[in-house]
Amino acid sequence: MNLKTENIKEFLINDDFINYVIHPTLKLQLHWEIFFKNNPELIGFADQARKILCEEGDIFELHEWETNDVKNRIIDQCGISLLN
Amino acid sequence: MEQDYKNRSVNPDIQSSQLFEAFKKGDINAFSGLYDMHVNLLFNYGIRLTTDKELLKDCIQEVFVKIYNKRNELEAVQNIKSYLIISLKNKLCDESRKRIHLSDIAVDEIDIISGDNVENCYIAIEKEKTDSAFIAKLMSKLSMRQRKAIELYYFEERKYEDICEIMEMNYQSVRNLIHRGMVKLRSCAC
Repeated sequence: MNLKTENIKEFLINDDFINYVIHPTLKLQLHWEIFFKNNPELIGFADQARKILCEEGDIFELHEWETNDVKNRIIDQCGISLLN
Repeated sequence: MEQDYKNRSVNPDIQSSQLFEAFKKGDINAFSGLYDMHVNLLFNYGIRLTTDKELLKDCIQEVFVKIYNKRNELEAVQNIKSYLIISLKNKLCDESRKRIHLSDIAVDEIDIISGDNVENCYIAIEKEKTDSAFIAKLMSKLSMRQRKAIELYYFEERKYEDICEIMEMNYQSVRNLIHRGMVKLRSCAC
């Protein structure tokens, strides 16, 4: 695995970073602003991770039949029935 | 409700919250809507952490089964999107750990997603303490009204409209107050 992928992954698995991108609080905003000021070389990697979390750029999707298949497995496992 | 998420003119974050609230109140079709709305977000995220598509699909399934089974314990969850992503990441980490124990291949050949260990948890707790003290120090640099507005907006997560009422100020003044406070915090933090 190359350094770029590894660095992006580090952000993707960081709970604080995930929350900062999706549901920021003041504390997280300040934390990451200071972090990027001290580590400007990581901003590009973080932006790539942000795009993945925000579904921007290249998107990978399941085929429709796979989406339905996983959904049916969930419904079966939970033992529920849907109205529509 | 289930079909609403496909209407892109409505803010997806608001739709997501509405579905989640309906699901917590027992609306099973809202659960289906949550799945439809987030399944590809989770797949697009998870596929960057593992190349095993079948494992990923299994983990997505487990995440949704878990939230269904724990639907009465989700009151503390503030944002369903980040909750789902973090749950999937944790699930993938768990599966990676299991594979280390079950596999004969050398540990350094396995692409471990990484996860928390005791040391990381300890460091995180210590860091939390330091961060809180740091933020308290920064907040003391603000005027009383700036501090109040920022506490309401960021710590208590109140809407601007609520803050206007509490502080008896108009909308634009509240926004300006928070903006100026944030500028000051940033300048003090750096």
